[in-house]
Amino acid sequence: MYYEDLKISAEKIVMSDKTKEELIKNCEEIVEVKKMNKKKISAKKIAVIAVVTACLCCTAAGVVYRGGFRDIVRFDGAVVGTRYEQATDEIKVSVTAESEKLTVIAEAADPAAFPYAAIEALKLNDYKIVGENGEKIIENLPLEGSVFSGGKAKMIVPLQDLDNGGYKLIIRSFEGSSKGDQPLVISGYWEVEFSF
Amino acid sequence: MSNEKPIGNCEEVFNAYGDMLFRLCFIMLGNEADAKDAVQDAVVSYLTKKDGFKNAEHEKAWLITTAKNKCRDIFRSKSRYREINIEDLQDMLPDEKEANCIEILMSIPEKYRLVLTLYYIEGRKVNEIAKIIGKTPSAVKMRLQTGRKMLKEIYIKEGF
Repeated sequence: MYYEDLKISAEKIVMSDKTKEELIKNCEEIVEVKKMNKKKISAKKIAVIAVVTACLCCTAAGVVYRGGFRDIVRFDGAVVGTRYEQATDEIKVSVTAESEKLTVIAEAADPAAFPYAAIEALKLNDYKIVGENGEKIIENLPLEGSVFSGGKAKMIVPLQDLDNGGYKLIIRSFEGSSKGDQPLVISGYWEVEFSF
Repeated sequence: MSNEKPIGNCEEVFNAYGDMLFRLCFIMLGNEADAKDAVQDAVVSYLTKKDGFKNAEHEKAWLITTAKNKCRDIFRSKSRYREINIEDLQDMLPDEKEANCIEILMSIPEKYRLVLTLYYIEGRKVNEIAKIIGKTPSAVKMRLQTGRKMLKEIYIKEGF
């Protein structure tokens, strides 16, 4: 008896026409917005795929990567400087060995490109000179900055009592500076052999 | 699959299932505003669904399950403040006896209310309800039995 009454009563619970119209309108709007968002995401996906494809094509065609900037982050997360990485192909290094000094000439392939256009002085930052057997002769001896002009700098590494034989200069980074700016570490990998 | 029932448009869905969904949500949530929200969410889910349905029965069962889940979401988020809105109920059922009848159903716990609503009001079979709520048919029967007992106690207590 109760359940029959329950069904009859419940069937009278219906949406008013006004509520129905309102809900139809709301649902259509929400669905439309969702569709638009989906299209936007699809467009973004296509753009990302295009960029990745372009990068892969460039690599395949043998195009040389340019270096890039990266923040130097302290232990607590604070950014304390900037580093320019993967500059190996952008700087040519040559040396002239004399009995008491090694003259290192660093030359930017494109002096007008950033960061080389903004650098006023350059010095060796992380470097070492090793002997024929790989033994370390000099490592990170502090040096004065040399003028970097026309995309070129001449740096002097003092040498003392080196025996005759073959040696190798390995550079992992330079440090560029300009007035009023924090020093910029330019990293890469350069190896130059010399002998006495 | 080509023999699938395609997703209907918004108006078709409301014409075919709107009242059924609204009734279920209203009984589950106890007020018109929440019931409207639940129906709206369920219909939006339906309209943005990628796959079609095997048949009309499958479609209806899917909508009931979705509406039930939307009610549960709203129910959980507002459970502390959940109240039956008597004014809403009286607006829809001006007859006092009919309003009391539904109010008693609304006063029992959610899990029994849902099973009783689907069984007695929507006319679903025990196996169908079991699928909708994700329980075994025996569990549905147990809930029906307990729910009926609760209703009877309130019915007697209220002097109907």
